[in-house]
Amino acid sequence: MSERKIEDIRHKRKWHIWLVLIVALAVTLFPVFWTLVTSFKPSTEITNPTPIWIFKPTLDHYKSILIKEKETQDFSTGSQSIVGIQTFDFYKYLVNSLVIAISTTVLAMVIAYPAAYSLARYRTLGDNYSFWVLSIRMLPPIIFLIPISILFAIYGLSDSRLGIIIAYLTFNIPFACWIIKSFIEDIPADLEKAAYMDGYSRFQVMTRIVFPLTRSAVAAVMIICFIFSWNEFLFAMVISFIRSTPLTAGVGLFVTGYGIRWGRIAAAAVIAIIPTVVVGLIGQRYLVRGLTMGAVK
Amino acid sequence: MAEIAFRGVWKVYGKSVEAVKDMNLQVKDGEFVSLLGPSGCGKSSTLRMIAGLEEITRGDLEIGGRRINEVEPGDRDVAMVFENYALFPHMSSFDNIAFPLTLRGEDRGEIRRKVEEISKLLDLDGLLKTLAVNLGGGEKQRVGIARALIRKSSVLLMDEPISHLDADLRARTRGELARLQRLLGITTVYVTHDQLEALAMSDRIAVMNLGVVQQYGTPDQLYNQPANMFVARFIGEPPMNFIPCTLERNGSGRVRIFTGGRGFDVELGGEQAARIDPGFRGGEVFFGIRPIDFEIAGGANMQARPSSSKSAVKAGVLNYEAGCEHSFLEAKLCEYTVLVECAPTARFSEGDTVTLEVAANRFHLFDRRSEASIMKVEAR
Repeated sequence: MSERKIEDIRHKRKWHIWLVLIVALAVTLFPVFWTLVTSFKPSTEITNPTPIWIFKPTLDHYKSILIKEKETQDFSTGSQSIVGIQTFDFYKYLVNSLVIAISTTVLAMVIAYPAAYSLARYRTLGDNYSFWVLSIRMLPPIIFLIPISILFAIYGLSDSRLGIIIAYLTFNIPFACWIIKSFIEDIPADLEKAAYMDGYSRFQVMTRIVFPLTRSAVAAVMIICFIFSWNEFLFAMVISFIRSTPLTAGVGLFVTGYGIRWGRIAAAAVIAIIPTVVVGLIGQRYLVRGLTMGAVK
Repeated sequence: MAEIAFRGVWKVYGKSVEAVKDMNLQVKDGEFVSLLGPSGCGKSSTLRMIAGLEEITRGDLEIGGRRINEVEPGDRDVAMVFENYALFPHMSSFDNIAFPLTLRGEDRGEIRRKVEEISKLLDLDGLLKTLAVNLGGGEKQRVGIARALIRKSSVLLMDEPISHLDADLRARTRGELARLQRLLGITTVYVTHDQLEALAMSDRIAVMNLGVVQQYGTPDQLYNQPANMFVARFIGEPPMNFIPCTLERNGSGRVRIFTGGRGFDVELGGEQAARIDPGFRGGEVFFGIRPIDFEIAGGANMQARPSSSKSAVKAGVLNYEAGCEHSFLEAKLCEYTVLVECAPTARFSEGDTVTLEVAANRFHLFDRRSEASIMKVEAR
């Protein structure tokens, strides 16, 4: 009897969980869904006051951003859109985005890992220093925007990939540092001491003993850094003008003085989502394992 | 040759936390020495100073006559077994054991041969391919010991290596470790808070408290001639009873020991009095006696002994705890409660009066102020 009751309760609880999940998914995924729908919609139907659900899908938006020869062809508003399209170079933006996101991720890890090791194992710069490092990440990015853009203009870093990478590192290093530090702290210090006694140096201990043990955390942090850099919009928009524009900022160019090219924005957004989804899928097991490992020992 | 010598060694953490104070200790070549004491007594700090994992604040530490204060841990020819085994979880048992050798770039075939040899010794044959993370506690510990032994270093350090094992496994490993140490003849320093471990395995034991070596001697010396009350209390299970008394000497070389209340008032003469350090003129003392050293006169199991070498006092039974191997009697001696170990066949009940006797060479006296023993140290 009691078993059945428990079973019932479980079912009920499951039912509630499902409801919550469905609502949450609907709320979070609907914009993505609508972007996807919009990217296949004929331009004329996109801004229709009543949402149109049934339409004849078109690949025009994708073609117009992916195929350079057809840049000048615009089916909906003729010559007005040329301004926007001529300046939109999808492949350049894609390369910029990839270079910036990958470099930021790798550099953040190379710089943050030794720093995290130092913070975890020594009392580097006092007890509160590591928290101060993290607090940089807590400030709203806009605070850094003004000094960074002024300094970049002075030192010739404006509109360069390097400039954007440096700006992103400002946020990714503290984050990576903090997370990895907590993982290193979970590794028993005796493990390292055993390696010293056998003749390893501090550096060898870090690279050959500690690093392999924090691999899943490193993977998780790298995924998060990549996604952050890939998705960043504010700095990309302000620091880059022509040469270094990444995809996120490039899409902004469809907001022209003559109108907003929603279809193309949607198409570019859908393509831009792909790398994050791929990275997310590949890294899923690291993310799950990595993020729980730190919390529950 | 690998004697270890501490010469006035201090370990001070920060500015004022004195973990080890002015330690002077010699460990002979091939000797098994335990550092025994409660947690925080400085025994682990001492071990880690030998290992090179802690800096030596003051004094000299020598291994084999060479001062090693500034020598890197890897160059000290010292191997260590850690409390939590400190195996590299991402490596197999084989790689863990081989680690110290691969690091030195030894020949692969040679490494394999050595690992197999040591695994046979520690009964690890079937486990060499298992990842360290998947080993059980006892297995991890054996791999840890194998890793420490494979280097054939001149000194082996062990930091409570078996304290995390189950009771039966612990008892077994205790014997195994002692056997292995004698087999290899490696100078060993062993840290433990478990007096049974230390007594069972060591050639000599250094009992530590508050960063100071309280006594350094053979298990037998520590048990039979504790230098002070701390050692007396720490060694032996259940611990020694202490009765506050006054000691008086009279002219004829006899000594009277009595408590303030009635019931405990014994006079010692001849052999018994002679055991007390003549330098101690008299005053407040603690009379110390182990539960096992009481004899119960008139008890069912008592055989008569010549009473001349004994002192007898009367005591009331407060509580009787029967056991299969040992039975314990809580008895009221004047206003003091003492624990008496008696034969399992003995039967007492609350309210009984028993006569407790103490053999001449089984009691201890401590100066109440300094807590130091006032018994003469017998040469052995």
